[in-house]
Amino acid sequence: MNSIISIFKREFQSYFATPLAYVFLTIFLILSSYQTFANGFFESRQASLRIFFSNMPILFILLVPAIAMRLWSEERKSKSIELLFTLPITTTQAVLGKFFAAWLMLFVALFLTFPIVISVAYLGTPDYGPIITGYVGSVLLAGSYLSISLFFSALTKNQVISFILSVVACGCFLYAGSPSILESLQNKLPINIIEIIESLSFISRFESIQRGVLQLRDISFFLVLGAGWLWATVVILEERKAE
Amino acid sequence: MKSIKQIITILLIGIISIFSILLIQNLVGNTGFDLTQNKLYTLSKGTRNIISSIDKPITFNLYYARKATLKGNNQLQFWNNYFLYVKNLLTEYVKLSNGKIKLNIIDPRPFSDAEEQALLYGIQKIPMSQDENFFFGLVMTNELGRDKVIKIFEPQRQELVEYDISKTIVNLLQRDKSTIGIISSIPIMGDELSPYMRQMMQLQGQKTREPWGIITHLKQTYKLINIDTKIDKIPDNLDFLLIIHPKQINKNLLFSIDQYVMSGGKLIILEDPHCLNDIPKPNPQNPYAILQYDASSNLNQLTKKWGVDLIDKQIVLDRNIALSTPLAQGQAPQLFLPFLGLNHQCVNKDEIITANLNDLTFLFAGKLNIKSQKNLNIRPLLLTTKIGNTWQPKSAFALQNINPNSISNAYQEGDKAIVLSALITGQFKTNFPNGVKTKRKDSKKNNIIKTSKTGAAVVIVADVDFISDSLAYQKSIFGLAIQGQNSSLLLNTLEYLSGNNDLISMRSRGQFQRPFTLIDNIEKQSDKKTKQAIKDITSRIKTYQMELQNLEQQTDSTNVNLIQNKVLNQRQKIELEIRNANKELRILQNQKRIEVERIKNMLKNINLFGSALMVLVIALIVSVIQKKHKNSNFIGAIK
Repeated sequence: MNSIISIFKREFQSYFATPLAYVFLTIFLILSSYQTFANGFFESRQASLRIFFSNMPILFILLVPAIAMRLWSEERKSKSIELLFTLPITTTQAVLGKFFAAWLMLFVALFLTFPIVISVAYLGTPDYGPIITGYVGSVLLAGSYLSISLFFSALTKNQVISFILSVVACGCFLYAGSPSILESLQNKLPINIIEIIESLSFISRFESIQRGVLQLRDISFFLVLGAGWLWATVVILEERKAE
Repeated sequence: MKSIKQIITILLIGIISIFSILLIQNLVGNTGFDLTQNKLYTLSKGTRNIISSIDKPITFNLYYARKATLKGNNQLQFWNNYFLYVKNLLTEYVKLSNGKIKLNIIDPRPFSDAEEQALLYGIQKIPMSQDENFFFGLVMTNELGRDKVIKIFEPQRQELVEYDISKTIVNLLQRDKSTIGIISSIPIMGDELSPYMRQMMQLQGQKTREPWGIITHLKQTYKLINIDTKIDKIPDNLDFLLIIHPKQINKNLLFSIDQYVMSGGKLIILEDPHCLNDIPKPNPQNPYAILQYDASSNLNQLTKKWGVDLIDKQIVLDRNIALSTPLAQGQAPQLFLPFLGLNHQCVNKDEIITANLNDLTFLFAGKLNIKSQKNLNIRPLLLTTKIGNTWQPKSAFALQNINPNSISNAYQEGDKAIVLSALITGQFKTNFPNGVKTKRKDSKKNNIIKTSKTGAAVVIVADVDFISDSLAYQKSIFGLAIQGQNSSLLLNTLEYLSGNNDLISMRSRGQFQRPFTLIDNIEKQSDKKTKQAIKDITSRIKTYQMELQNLEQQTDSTNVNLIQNKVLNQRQKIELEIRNANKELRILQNQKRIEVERIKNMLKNINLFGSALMVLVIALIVSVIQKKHKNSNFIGAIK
């Protein structure tokens, strides 16, 4: 546990040692607010943050791989990975430490969007239930994106390739359940496979949580999927740490 | 070799993850928490029971003109929100149905098959532009080819949408018409004659009594059975019982009604302290008997034990909602306190029966006294405003010779709303624990049901006249037309009580819309503020225009050269005044928009740049801390 905390601390502090974290936070905050207002938050005249949260899956798809791409690629490129694994820590501990540090970073980013909550409370009487679940859903979604991005960061030394692969993989999970994709797959695949693909869709899970209902099936989906990708990251690193 | 092993391991992890997700999904089902304030996505127990009673698959086709609304203006955002809510709610139905319900979402594009289908089912089409039409309805079909339709999801029924959907499912599952037994002491059913007999009698100059409009109305949906007040027992297999103006009901019939409720029956009682439609037959031997005639009715013998009784011969008055009416032909209308116009503030918004009612008229209504009873849930449906009070006429004669002024003088404002109608559900207790003595000896004591079975419900309305043709309908060239919502009150009650106990347990969902109250208030205040100013400016513009017109009339061919310069100057001056006034008007009208825009920009800037500023502050703080840390480390190293 202590090893995880040490890695976590080192990683989290390293974000703030360079301007990277600040640039990431600023871009995220400006884009999320801009998208909310551009998509008609004010014109809808409804004291709800549905429009604000509906931007999250798209925003995260670019920003999460951006902060995750360096986590392992850089270590491997600069060969610091060898140094890291000479320390008395296991690969799992290292992966978890880095994952939680980046997750906390995303949590900080989401926390800093609080002015939009104050704005909506100033304009009307919002239902706080969907706002709370919207944030819970965003944190879970960010965690899942992060675990996918972490895997691709471990897979390659090149940060750009890691970023592109992560974006593509996250996009596949995001749009897996969209009617147009399912419709095009309908003739090519058996219905059982289509149903499995549909059940892996991020967007339907996120929407289900975002409307104000926390269901065990949705929460467990994000947790299991995240754990699966992290496990795969550990497997990759175990094999490649010496390369 | 290593990489093949790695790929296999990762594939295995993928399969395990997907398998775990599917397994957990099946294991946990719908366990979770609905955190919305009004439990918007938690289907009521009633709906759950209805869904579990579905035996054959049902298909929901939800028609919504999504693309058309995306093209439209911002006001259509409301419909998109409403659609999302309905869609999510229907998804909950699907999730609970274990595959029995299938949901299709269809966007009927112009000239498509889907549009044609929607129109065939009777989904309401609202033209939006030359090409685009708006649709938002639901069609439910089952394997037997039966279908039920919600033609349009009306915005004002948003809080009742779950009830409407569940009710439609129940209608789809139900096959036969429900049966209503009617016991009435006034000739509401008319003379029961075949159309041929009626025509023959009319040809012979005999008078025939037509059924009331409400009866004709009810016959469209229900099977009606007229029950004579003189018989001892009500027929079996009634879906519900409607008692109108109960007078001199014999004890055996009372017992039978009581037992009907005990067996889980649904009873509606319309009683009255003074029923204007209860007209005595003239008695040639005693012509003055009419003046002493008692036109009141109640069923307190039964309902008192269930917590509700009508206060005898007291008439409800309320100045806040009293209506004006001419009391005789040719007279000018005057305020008549017993004539009540019940609006939105007089109905219980939480009850499905009354949630959408706001235009009811009651005449000489009575006061219901409510006393809570163990195991019974008594909910008021209709109330007066807080200043409602009762008036007790000195004699029956005073009611035959109504004087509005004396009623007005006798009226004193009350301090509590008076209940005019109530709904009782729960476990009823019989009024006849020992049964009744009958001539026949077959009545056995052990046949008596002492506490009611599930599903029993009683609705009491303290007025009878509200369903009469004069208050609920109006004559038109096509026959009787519905007037106000009086008939809706009875129809809602029947619909609500008919057949399904699960529907009865449902309540309206409460607040759904959450408008920007701040902006609404600003707009309201601004309208209020500028109303007078706009009026002043408009009248000023009118005056200037008139002056200009006068000036133009003065200038004719003879004096044109003489006063040309003067007129021209004057004209320019007035035109300038008009321009200025118009500008002022525009500024005033713009003020509201400017204020709203100001708030929008302020919030936008705070959110856009405020957050960036925050990050900058964090960066500064962190760099200062890091610098201090470095310095102390450096000093430590020197030391």
